[in-house]
Amino acid sequence: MIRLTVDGRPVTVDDGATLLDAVRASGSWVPALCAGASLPTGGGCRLCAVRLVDQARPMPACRTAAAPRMVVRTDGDALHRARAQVVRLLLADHPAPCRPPGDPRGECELEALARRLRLPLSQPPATSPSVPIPSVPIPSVPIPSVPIPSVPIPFPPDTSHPALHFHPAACVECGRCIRACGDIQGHHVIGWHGAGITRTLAFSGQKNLADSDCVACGQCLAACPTGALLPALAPVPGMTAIDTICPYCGVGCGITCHVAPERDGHGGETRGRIHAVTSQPGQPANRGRLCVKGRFGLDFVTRPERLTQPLMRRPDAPKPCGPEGFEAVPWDTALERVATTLLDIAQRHGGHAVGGLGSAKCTNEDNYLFQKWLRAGLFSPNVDHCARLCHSSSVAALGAMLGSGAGTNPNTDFLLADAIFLIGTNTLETHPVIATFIRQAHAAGASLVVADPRRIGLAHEATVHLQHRPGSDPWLVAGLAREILNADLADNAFIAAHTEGFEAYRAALLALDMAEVGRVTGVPRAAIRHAAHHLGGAKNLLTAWGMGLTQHVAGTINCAAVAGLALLTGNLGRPGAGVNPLRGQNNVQGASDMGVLPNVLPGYQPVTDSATRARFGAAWGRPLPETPGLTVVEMLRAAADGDLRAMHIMGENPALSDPDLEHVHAGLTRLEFLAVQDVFFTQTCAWADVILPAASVLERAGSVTSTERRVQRTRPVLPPPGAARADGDILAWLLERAQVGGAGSDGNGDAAAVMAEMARLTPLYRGLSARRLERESVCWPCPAPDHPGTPILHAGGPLRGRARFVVPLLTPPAETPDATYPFILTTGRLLEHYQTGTLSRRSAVLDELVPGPWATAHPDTLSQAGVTDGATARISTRRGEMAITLRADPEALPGVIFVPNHFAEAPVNRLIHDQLDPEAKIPEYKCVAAALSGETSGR
Amino acid sequence: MDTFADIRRTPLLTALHQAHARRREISPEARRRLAAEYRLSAAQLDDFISFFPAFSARPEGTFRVCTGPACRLAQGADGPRHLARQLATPGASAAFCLGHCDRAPAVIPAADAEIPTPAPPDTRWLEHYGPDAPRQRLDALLSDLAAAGLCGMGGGGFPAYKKLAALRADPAPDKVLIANADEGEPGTFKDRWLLDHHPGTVLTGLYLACRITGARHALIYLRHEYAAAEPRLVAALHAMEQAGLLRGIGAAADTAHPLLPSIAIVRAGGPYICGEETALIASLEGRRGLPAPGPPYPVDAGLFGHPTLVHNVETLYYLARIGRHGPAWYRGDGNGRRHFSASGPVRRPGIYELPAHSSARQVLEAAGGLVDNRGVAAFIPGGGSSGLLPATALDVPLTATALAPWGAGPGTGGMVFLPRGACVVDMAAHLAEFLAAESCGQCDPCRLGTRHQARALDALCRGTSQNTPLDPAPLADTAIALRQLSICGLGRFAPTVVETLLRHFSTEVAAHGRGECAAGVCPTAAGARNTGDGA
Repeated sequence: MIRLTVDGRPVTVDDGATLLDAVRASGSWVPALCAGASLPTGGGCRLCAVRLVDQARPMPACRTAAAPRMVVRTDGDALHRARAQVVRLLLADHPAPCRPPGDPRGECELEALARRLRLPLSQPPATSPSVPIPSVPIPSVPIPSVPIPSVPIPFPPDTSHPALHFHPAACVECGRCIRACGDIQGHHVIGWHGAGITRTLAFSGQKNLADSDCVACGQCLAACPTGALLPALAPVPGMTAIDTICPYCGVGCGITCHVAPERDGHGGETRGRIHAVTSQPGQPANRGRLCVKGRFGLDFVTRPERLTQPLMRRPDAPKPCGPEGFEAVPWDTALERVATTLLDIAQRHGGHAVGGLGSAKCTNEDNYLFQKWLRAGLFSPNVDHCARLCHSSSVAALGAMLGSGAGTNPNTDFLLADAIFLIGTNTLETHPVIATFIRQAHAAGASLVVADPRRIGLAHEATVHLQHRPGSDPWLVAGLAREILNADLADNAFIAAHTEGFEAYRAALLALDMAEVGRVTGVPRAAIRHAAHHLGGAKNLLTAWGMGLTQHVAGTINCAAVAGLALLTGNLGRPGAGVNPLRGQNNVQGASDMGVLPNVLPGYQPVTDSATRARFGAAWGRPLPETPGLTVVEMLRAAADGDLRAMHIMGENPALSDPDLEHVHAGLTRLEFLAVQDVFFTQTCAWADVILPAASVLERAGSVTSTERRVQRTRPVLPPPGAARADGDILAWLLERAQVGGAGSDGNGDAAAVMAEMARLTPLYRGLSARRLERESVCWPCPAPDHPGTPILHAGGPLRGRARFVVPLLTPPAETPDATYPFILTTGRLLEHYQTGTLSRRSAVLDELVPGPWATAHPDTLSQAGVTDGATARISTRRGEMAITLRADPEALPGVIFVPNHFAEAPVNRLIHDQLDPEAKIPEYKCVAAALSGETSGR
Repeated sequence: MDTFADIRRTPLLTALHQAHARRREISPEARRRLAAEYRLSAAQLDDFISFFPAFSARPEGTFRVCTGPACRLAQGADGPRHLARQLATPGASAAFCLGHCDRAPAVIPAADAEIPTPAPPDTRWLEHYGPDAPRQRLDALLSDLAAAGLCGMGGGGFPAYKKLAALRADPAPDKVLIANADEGEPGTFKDRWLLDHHPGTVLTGLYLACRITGARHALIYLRHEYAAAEPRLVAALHAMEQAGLLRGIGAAADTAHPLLPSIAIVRAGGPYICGEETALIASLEGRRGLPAPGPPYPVDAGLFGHPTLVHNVETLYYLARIGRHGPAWYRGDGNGRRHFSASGPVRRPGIYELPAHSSARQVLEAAGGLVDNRGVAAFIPGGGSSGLLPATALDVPLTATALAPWGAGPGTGGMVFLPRGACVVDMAAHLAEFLAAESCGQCDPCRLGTRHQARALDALCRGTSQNTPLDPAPLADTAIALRQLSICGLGRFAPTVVETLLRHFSTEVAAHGRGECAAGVCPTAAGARNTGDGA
């Protein structure tokens, strides 16, 4: 604590505080234009200058550290005149008002400053004649008029970008956008060009915004004090601000949606529209940061293609068919049909003949009710969701080794790590906000080791990039562990105190043939050794991974190996140290937590445990299935085999997302009955018998749980379109119809009541309630209402007691290239799109930024296959083939073809085999043998 | 793995000069390559490149025309119009003072001037101060410098021996010495002259400074427009290397004695502000040359965090001379010596070494007086930001104390004499424009305040002030803002030229306010002023 005096008043500030902090704490006021909230210090505007008693010149308060016994004055005639003149000079060329009315950021900060200092907003233009004065006296009396000649800024507005516009005339050159873009987001797209008089803001070196490397995160927009940076979509006056959680990825960003009603063209009001999205202030998961999807990609919610009324398949319509094969029916008709058919099939053939897919896009409450409907209503053990396809292997490995399958650290812990290991995660595109924390840590000195077969964004910036061949992860990670052992960097004290099975693990590593590691991975041994030194030498190592690691037949083995590195180096249970599978969807963690998994009830309580079953059964008034059910891919296989007769799918799109789509489609076709509950007519809807229009997560109250296990409140920002209903209300209707007891049994899907029942039955969530979440977000486990939550798992030692080392198994991918299929096909995501594109491809901005698919491969690979850069080519595997535009990527590994998986017109998943990881049942999307040819006539 | 913040790595500035030398521009391919090599985004690289006028595209056949004070005066009253005509020729671009004021009117590239081959450094004498020199010998040298009272000659005037002693006391292994040869103050060319005529002595000073302080890394930050001096410096460095005095030229060689310094030549990128030591260091680190006044000061944490001393060329020259001739030689009758640059229409423009407390009249006499015995209308006492003084100040000693009552300072000793018939308002407007163009832009008071001054004086010259006459009140407020709030000396001293103009030349200002320029230099209809492109 530092004690000092500001304007005669004693002030106490924290160590490390600046004089600006001290001035603000004292109740005094100094203007500040270049200091933006949560931005690194600028110091250019000089408006916050204060006087120190023992200093001749004023000091900028924002750049001066507070020190004990300082005596600070914010007033004084010279200082006031100097500040006022700088503001006048800034106003001389300023087009006030520079922001449109209704801008959620409020009034332009310069204009607000001028008002507070009582300075006129606009200057007389230079061309307008003022009263001629015949001679020039040198008066000693100050003249109030300020004829600072105004020169129009010669740069025209840049309106090239679909999301962001730049109006140079309103720019005050405070540099806040540069710091937001570079220091906060790490993109470094905005910079200065030139110096002095001719200096301008420039994007990627004087490109227009659309041609620059801008990724449209909008951080600059939030930082800009004026109307220089504006959203392309103009705000409207009178918007309402509603806080909720971003519906896209698993980072859990707090957003504020600014909505206003609209006229519908017939004189009536529509349900309104989201005109702007800002980051929710004070939100711990994202600290004011957002990405392009969250800030500019939520307009899908008001697209006219939203499902607005229940639909039933016409008796004569084939499977699959488009919307024309369906007719609108009243809710009761549709629901009655769903309930009757599913209950009837379950009764006649047993619960195992029915299956359900819950959704990582729906709230915890909806998912809770969904598995309750399947288990208690239909007595079906077959309930799963897409977590199966992304991180089931992480959950299996971490659960077995540590006692919990969840990630161990908060998002912001990357800032505390001194080494970061990323493997199989293109974080910059899949979890853009987490990537900002990684970049910030790296810029501050943390080493960054990236292992990825692709030269992804963060690989360019990394301390070491290990560009290993797809599917060689087991060798790579074992090699790293071996080099850590060799360099004597293992944390023996941690191993002795907190682990078991080390000797066998060590023995296996010592038997490892490093030459084979080099051969299989294609990574030089020196690079592996170098990376191992960074990983082993760090005080705090934070590891994160994504689907590049998990989506293999060796997925569980891979995850166990990476977690093994953390154990080997003693990095668990501390701030900045731990293992973090980065979850992909806004509520994929929550859907798993809610027991939308075939083997566990809510809170990961095994279905095989009779006491657990009894507890839930008592609450629901029904017996529950005693054995684990089928997983996603298994359900669709069973459907194809005729063993599974009916499905209820809520907010998932297996017809595009699952591997080996030909088989999936066969399974869907063979189902006797399919109910789909969704917001759009997805590819899966084409096989549905009944389609139930659902409210999106932006229209639904409830809660979602992010990758850092943070449970957060979602609020409806708009009413649902037409007759669409909240998933919870749909499920409650079915539960009431099936006479299941407990929450929802009255036909009301109210989130608070569902949360209350779930918390009562689920120890991990016991301390949570709708009321508490209204106030704060909480990381589980949270066993009691007065428990603060658990941001860091395993802080008191591994939950399992002793963490278990797993002996590394060198398991190759299911398919390896051969003469017919000489290349490796791998899939992944793009920043601008999301999963099967159901949401992101219906956003105007995102669709304009990336309108269609393309694949990339090394130029040598293209020429080997006879494909020209930019031409359409045919990719084929043992499952089928697909035409897509190929682009050359000189940094790609030769022989590897990358295809993004968002695009229905390039449904790459039809090419993926359905070999599964034996333990987690996750498919191998990341490594498939493929052929490439320039002919497109084969289709 | 890669340390980019490393003193042993080629500065980005140098890499850009190499790329520019090959193509006369920084090509898109070079940008891509350098961005990858130095791990910068396209924006970060452009942010750096665009700061330095040296990297503008300069196709074959283009040349730069100096618009500086001496060159404005070179054609008499027609000077500014002559410049305008010259700038209208194809391939011409305007530059602020190129530091060739003795050859006014100057263009670059220029025909090679005949300069006698300089004497090589006296390496036999320097061996006394080599790595085996006893500590006492270096101590004695330092005491000589203190006895001489050697102060910085770049304009700051801080006692040089104190900075040397501070660095000597620092135990850090990698200490850095920088010879600041990025002279840029309009009307000043003494450093160029010293590098042309006495490169060996300057390098001797740099070498001795390294030995006194124990600095193992030294470099000469050479003004971009002084490229002609580079071969002479290289020749002198080779002589020193052959005598076994250096660890290497440029890169550090590990074979030689570890205590020996390596000396590199780094070409500057053009901006005036990079003559300021913290801006200079920033430019060497691959960042925009923005002044960042301490603490920490460069002597504690300078280039890449290493303790660093930056000394002006003339300071190092005198360091060597004092080492050779002793402090008494330097002190003379009390105040030491300095090199005055004399330019304008004097008979013998050039460099004159005189006692530091000489008056402007003594410098003028040394330069042979004005051509045609014209009277002096005004003079610049010490470089572009030192102010404008009337003839009545000709006998004032050129020291800080004596000039303070006149609202001016001794600056760099770069003296420009304006004869009767020249327009002092035009000169002031040019200097105000220079300051506005060379403001780095990082702080608002300087970026906007210098612009305000330049616009106001420009309006006065153009005669547009008939409608909006020069109103001193806002200029006074701008002066307060500049003095109180600017980050560095450029902004803090920027009001001097405007204030000395208003104070000493009120008649001329009033006449211009009526649209009259007695000299006929500031015609209301003579077309655009020559705007320096800052390059």
